[in-house]
Amino acid sequence: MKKSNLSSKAKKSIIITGSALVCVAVAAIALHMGGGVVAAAEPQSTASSSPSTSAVVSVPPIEQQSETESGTSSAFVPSSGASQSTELTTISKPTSAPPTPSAASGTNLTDKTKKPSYTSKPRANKSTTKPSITKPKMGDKRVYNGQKQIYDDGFGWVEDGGGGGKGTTVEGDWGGGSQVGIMD
Amino acid sequence: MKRIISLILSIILVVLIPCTAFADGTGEGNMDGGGGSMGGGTGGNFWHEGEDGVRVTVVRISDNNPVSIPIDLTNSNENDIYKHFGKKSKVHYRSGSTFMLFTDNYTYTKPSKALPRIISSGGNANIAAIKSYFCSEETLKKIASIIGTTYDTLIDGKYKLLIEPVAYFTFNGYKMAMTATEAALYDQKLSGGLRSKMVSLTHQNLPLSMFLEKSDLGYPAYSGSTTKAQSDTTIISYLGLGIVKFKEDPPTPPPVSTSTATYRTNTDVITSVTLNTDSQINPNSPARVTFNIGGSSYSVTNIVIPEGDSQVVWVKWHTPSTAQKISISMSASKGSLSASSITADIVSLDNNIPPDPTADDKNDGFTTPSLPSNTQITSNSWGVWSAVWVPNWVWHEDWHWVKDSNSKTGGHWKDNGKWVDEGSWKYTYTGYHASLSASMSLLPDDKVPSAQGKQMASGYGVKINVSANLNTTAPSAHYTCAQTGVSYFPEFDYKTYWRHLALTANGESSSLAFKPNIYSTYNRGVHFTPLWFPDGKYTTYTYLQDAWTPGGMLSMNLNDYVTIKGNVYQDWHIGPKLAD
Repeated sequence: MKKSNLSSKAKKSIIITGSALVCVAVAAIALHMGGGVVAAAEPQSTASSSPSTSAVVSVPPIEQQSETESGTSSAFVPSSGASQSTELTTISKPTSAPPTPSAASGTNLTDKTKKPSYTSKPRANKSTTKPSITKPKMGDKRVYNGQKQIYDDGFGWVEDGGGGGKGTTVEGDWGGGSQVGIMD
Repeated sequence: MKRIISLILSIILVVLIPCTAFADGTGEGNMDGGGGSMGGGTGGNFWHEGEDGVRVTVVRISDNNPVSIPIDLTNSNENDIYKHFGKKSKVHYRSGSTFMLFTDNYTYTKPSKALPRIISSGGNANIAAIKSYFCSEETLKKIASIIGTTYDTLIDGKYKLLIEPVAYFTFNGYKMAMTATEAALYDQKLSGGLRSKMVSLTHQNLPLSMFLEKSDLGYPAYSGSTTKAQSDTTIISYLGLGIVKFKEDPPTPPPVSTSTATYRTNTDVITSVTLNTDSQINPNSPARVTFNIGGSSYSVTNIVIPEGDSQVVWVKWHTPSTAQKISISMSASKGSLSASSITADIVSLDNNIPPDPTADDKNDGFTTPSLPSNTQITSNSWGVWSAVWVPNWVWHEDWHWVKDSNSKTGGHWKDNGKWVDEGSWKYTYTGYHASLSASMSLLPDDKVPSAQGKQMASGYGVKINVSANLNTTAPSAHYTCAQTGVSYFPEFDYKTYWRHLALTANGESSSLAFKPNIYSTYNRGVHFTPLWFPDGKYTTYTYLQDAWTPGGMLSMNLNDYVTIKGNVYQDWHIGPKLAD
């Protein structure tokens, strides 16, 4: 093996620097990982090195019954003088009026003797005041996925069976005989 | 020639005068039971005069549940019914049956001897004839035959007949068949659309043709007006029903005054009142209802109701932790309330805990008692009216001459008019429904060493678990889940002593279990079975309650069992061992 030509001062410097680097690295790792690793590892090593006793005695845990307080935060808690209010519905009423109509072209606005009038009553543009929704009307019919349907305002589209009825006449002395039932 | 013309005119008149009474237009006016006018109207909405009938359902008395498919009886040929709601009774809907629309196969029975007139003006004017018809032996025999049972079974005292009036009329051009309850439910679906067209029939003469004078089958007696149209909620709760029974009901304590309510301590409850109005209450000036509870006030604002209808208004509040009586007063800024005050009796169930069982306890003459059955209501409905403004802008012109010296004409016309919104409020009814489901499990306590599944020796403790769930789409401010369970035991004949269960989880779902037993060495939540209890089923009964909605309290009867085999001494016997 070839002998190194480094001076003793240089060797010392290398050893000191190397030792310092190793110390810094160890310290950094220790700080980074913290004590949790040790804590976590302890039970594992204990468990692996100690004989298990859990198979010998089985003690079912006693469940601690926790009782929940009745009530929810939304309930009003009466206390002397307390006062609370809630709205059953949300009320809103659109108030924006349509733009002012302009007189029809050709209307004479400069003849003082003749009060102008609109040839047709100004109408609000419904699309600006109320969104127009294409909604089926009661009794509308359609074929949907091969099925006849009829529209009812309460139920929407329902199968259209076309109506009809079947009655059965039952012969007998209905209303006859003694009074058996009691109807208060 | 004159004779021929007269004859032709007469024929034309006979053909043109239809046998109908119109009921459209203003929505008001009274129906003439004799076939008179029901007010002016259009051809799309009218009652076919005299076309009425009844729906008959057999109801079991023990639990108020329907046990037959309802049948419709009518004198008319109803082969052209376009829309109906199937065969469901008032009791079915109360139990949570879905309200459905059908457009085919309306079936009915036509008695060979005519039914008396069912729907007449002025309420139940024909009720004597109706009673006589449906209480008669021959009618009951026919009904038994049609529903597929025997006459003797029908009248043996275990069942009652629920009779509901049915009307046949044309609405929006389609002929329909419906009971009073269905009319109210349909009107709710249409947000008042049926009432607005057929009020005299569907909201007055149909529902008022039958109602109870005494409470029965869980329906209250009706003592309100019989001369004016009723709201949907009143119809659903009180009207359009008659009951035929076959033995007198056992004497019952006088009905609890509607002005008294019983609540449990430390519980969320809902106190409701109905606000009625003859004229509309709209958002321009909404109503306010204030509840004064023991010196505190809770106000519900922004209440809107269409003309002639009603709105349930409620306060969800928490009862005190100690038993006491609390006075609740209600007031409304407009309309009329169904009650102005309620005395709330707040009771504690934390008493009458079973005594400490001992080894000397004996009960040689024990026979298994029958399980109790308390009032069970597992679903109910309510709703909220709201209103939206439907604008109708109308231009109100206002021309003025504006002078202008610089103008050749000396001025010009200017319209200083303005838009005026002549719209109206459109009401919408949002209906809610809640149904309570629950299960109960009774098992040997975990500490019982010899337990096998549900089998255990007597003298050991049993544990209980009650799980409840409230199915509803309503906001949480509208309901509480079941919070109270009270368990009763066979050794006390399901009376005398009980255990008030602890609420272990609360919310949309709740869980309940026994509270820790003070006689338990391990402080377990158990009930100790008596040492003397004979081998066989040991059944515990629990009454689950305090699931509240604005429609009232929901409650349920529950039970489960463990099987007793041997007793605790046999597990711990110490004695000499036999030699092999």
